[in-house]
Amino acid sequence: MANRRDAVEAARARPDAPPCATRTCAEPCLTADLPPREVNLAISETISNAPTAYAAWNGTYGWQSKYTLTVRRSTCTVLITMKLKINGTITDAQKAAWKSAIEARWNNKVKFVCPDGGCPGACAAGYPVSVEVVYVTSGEHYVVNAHTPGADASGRAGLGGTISMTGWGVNDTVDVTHEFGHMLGAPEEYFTTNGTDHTHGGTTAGFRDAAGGNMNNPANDPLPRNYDLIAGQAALAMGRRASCTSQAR
Amino acid sequence: MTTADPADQPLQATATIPNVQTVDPNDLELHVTITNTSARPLRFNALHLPYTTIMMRVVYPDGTRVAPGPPPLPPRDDGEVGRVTLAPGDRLQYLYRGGDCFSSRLTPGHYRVRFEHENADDHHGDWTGRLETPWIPFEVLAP
Repeated sequence: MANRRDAVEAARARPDAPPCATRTCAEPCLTADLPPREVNLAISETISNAPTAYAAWNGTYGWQSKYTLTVRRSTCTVLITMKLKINGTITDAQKAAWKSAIEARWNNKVKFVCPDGGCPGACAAGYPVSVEVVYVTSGEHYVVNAHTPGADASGRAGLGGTISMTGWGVNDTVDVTHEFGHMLGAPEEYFTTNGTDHTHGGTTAGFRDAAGGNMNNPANDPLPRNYDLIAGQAALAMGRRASCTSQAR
Repeated sequence: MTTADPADQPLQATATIPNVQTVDPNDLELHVTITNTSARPLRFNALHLPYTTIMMRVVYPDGTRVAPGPPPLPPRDDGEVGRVTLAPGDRLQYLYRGGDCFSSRLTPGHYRVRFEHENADDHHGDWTGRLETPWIPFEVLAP
């Protein structure tokens, strides 16, 4: 009993303590973990107004956003699990570097605040969102082709070797975080995408801008809006009376 | 397989696919060769050439484009990076794989593919013009 009391006191000292650590849970829903949700969402984006040198980027693109989403009310967390099968030549250290870079870039940047009419008071302080890259040999969400710069037929490859959402450079730990964002459903945020002018009226280059979020400049963190589609999926996992918004942590 | 009259077009692009029938469209391979057929050296901007989603165009039989997966983040261009000087007769070769283009599995059926590249930016003294190869049919078979 003393241990329980100590645990509650310790939890109260933490700002984001799960509510059931600090008070009696009258409803099982307050602490019940929800079953994992397999997300498979069609994403489309249209790029326009690219500068002349980048005109090839203009067009419409489409892909499926796939991952496993787990809402844990026992800990008030949301976990996104991405299972990747890797094709091609790559070392364990290079794979570990991908995983580390992606998780550092996307983990704990936002929390979902999800009022749930079906379970009032559940995780009222929000659900910090984390991502986990898991390498598998089957049952993958995506097959990623590992590219070694300089190893293609002409001796040339994309900068760092990353050439697409599923073609990653073995030594790249920057652009891969942007491609991972596409897997989570985030569209581009450069040139004009889906009608939004990311050059801000021509005042910036419109891509890889110093102040851009990850979907514009992968050297930076993602923005809360980059998690909005995931927030919608979290709400669906909770039920029809829940809604979720992304908030910066 | 040339894109224009060689007299007018100093670069020629040719393409082949070794597997015109495939069960897994991720295995589709488009082999492209770009050749300087002129009598003078050309400065060629190859910066974007590795990017499958913007170089490889796949269409349904009715000509509707199969939307590729998202394009790569554009690279910064300082006017030097990615430039290649092609002497007369020099070739560049590229291999584009379906797995780097399609994010969703193509349904069984008939498709066509070709290589497309255009450079209209003359700021850096690069070759300008358009390269495209003829359409090549291929078929995705049911597993």
